Amino acid sequence: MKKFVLVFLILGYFIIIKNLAGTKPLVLTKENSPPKVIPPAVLKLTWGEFKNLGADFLFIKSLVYQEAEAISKFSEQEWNYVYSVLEASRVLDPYFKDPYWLVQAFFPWEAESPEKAIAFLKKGLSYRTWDWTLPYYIGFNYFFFLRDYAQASKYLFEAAKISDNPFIATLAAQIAYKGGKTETAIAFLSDMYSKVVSEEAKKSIKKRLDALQGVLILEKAVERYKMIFGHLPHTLSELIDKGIIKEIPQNPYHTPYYLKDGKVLF
Amino acid sequence: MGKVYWISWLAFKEGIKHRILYGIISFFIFVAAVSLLFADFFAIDVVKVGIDFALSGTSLTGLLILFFLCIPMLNRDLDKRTVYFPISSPVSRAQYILGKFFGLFFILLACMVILGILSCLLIKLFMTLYKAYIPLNFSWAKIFLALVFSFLSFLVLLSVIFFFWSISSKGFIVSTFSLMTYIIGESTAVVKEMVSSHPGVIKHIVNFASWVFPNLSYFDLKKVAAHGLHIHLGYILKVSIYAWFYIAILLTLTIIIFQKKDLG
Amino acid sequence: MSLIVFKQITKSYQEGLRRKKQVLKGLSLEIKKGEVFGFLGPNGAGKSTTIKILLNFIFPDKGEVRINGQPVSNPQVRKYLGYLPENPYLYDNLSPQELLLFKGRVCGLTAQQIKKRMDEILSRVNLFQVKKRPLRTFSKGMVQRAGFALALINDPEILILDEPFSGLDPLMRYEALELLLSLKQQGKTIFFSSHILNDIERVCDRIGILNQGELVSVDNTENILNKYGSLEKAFLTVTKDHG
Repeated sequence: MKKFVLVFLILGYFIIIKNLAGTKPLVLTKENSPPKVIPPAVLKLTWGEFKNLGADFLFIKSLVYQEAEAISKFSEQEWNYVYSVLEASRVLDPYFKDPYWLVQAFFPWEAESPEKAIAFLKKGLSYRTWDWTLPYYIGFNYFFFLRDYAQASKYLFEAAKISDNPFIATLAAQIAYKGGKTETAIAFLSDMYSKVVSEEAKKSIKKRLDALQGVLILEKAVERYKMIFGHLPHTLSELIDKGIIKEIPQNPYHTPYYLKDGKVLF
Repeated sequence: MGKVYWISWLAFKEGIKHRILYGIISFFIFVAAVSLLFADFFAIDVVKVGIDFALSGTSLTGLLILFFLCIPMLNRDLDKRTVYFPISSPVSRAQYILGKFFGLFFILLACMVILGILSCLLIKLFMTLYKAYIPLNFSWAKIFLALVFSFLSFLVLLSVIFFFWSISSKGFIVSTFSLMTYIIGESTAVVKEMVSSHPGVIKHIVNFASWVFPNLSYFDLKKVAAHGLHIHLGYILKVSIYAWFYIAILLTLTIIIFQKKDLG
Repeated sequence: MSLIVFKQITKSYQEGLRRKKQVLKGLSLEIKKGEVFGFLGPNGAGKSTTIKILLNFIFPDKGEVRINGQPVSNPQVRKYLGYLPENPYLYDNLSPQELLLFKGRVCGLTAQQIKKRMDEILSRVNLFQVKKRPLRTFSKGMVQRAGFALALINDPEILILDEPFSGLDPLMRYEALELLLSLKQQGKTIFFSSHILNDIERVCDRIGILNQGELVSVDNTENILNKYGSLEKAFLTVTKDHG
């Protein structure tokens, strides 16, 4: 009798386990909004002296969530959820680098919200005072996504103060002087290309780099044209007509380059 | 003084042979193993995560020792009347309390030495496995300091346990009140910050609580150790003095209460 | 010269919130040096309370207890005192050797003296072979014998024994009784409580019978035996009269 009951219970137990395996505890649809951000004080109170461990745990939690779904298909709500988990991790240990790194790795690119990444990174500035990468990333986001060159150079100067790499200082100075100068942008992007890990980010930077290489070729051609003919060309095709370049470079963005007031745009 | 030494010797010998101690120490080894499994999830601050696991594991293990070894040992003395053995010798109640405290002190110290060595081994392992990710200002001195401060917080809690034990001989009550004190002690700093802008009664209550309960967050140097943050020598000195004053006050109260207690 | 003096001891315990139960009602007693005093009484008469007050475990509401002229609150009075509690609970993880070392040291003995006495006493109570084993592996009788050894390690002048024969099998009880008689011959003062009237009759010089917190009879063993015929009769008569 006892054996029979035990066999029956174990059987039932396995059926439940098998059924549970398919169900997700958290289904994010448009109807049910992502969990609200937990107030920092509550977080700190619950983790007590184990805040650092809590930060590590929440960081892993954000990863686990990302592993589960295809990142490229994330909705805004899902990104908000990841953001709030990372924010909780940051609150528990504001010195912990990984949340900043992860936010920078995904939010400007896949989540298409560089402003959020900037806001997140800025919170870390007063903690990770020795870390030049935070202001460097902020500067990059301003430069690359928001095209706010004044802010970009401001944060790059901050980064240059911390880092002993002269490249950053030069970069900051150049952006301050001539925000849109192509060589500066290429140098900045090449450096960033070596730093990012996400495929999406690499692709995105590569595309922009290729486009800027095209712009650089055209700008040089325009300069030569001006030296030879004494005035600026009206259209880019004039450069080919006059034999200065053989062809207009391919623009990876599939929008043609054009000339406006002597500047190559696309 | 000799008698205090022999009482502490007795308590140390009795406690160090407790089998639960081996269970608690193996718990720490389990935590260390888990940390190695998780390490690959982290991108940059991997060694910091290793330090977190080592120091938090030490804190947690210390709490387990306090609650599952020290409290039961004290309670057994009154429940099972083992206290009759030492105090039927020419030993005063004060000597008994002090001896008992130092006995448990040395048990905690011995555990702390073991845990400290294990922690350092774990951190060293993380540092060899993830060489590129060692925190910029990493220093062993700060790891050591964090461990010492953890130990100080255990001692403060131990004195709290002694105090409640002298009032009530019921193990459940001692555990509950000590746990509450621990939780309050860990939160006073945050709560104080929260209510600092709220004038009125709540602020006074919180202020009062922060005087009565030990402010355990002072002893939490895990962030300092994990990120190699700067720490003032003055802070270290002040907090150490604070700890010993708190311990001394509670032990004195314990002795006063215990001297009047019927051990029936 | 009285070695132990109880003077008008009263003691009551809180029972519930309001009620108090008086356990000892003005107990006065003197025990002379070299005397073996048997303490008798039904359960709940206050025997254990008296012994606990004597050892300063609990404090009387009123009255005073002195050993050798010193109040019992002075720890030094316990230097030449051996105590065997009823069902001794000792530290489980320690061995008899360690416990004896502790007791000897706090009583002011040197390591040399302890070593000498330890082996002697342990063989006397048949624990020599197991002196290094932790007490948790001991049977009840072995723990009781370890308690005897602990009471004797400091060569006490006064022995206080609370139900010393409980938990012992007949053979061990016989040996314990022999031990008591030899201690008596050495001129030790022994104060002990027991239920076993035969044993009391054999060993004690003087007997006190306690009933409901009052000492109803204190007299020499011979006088009591002459008066009532047997200790059993004495016990029954005296406790009934006052009950």
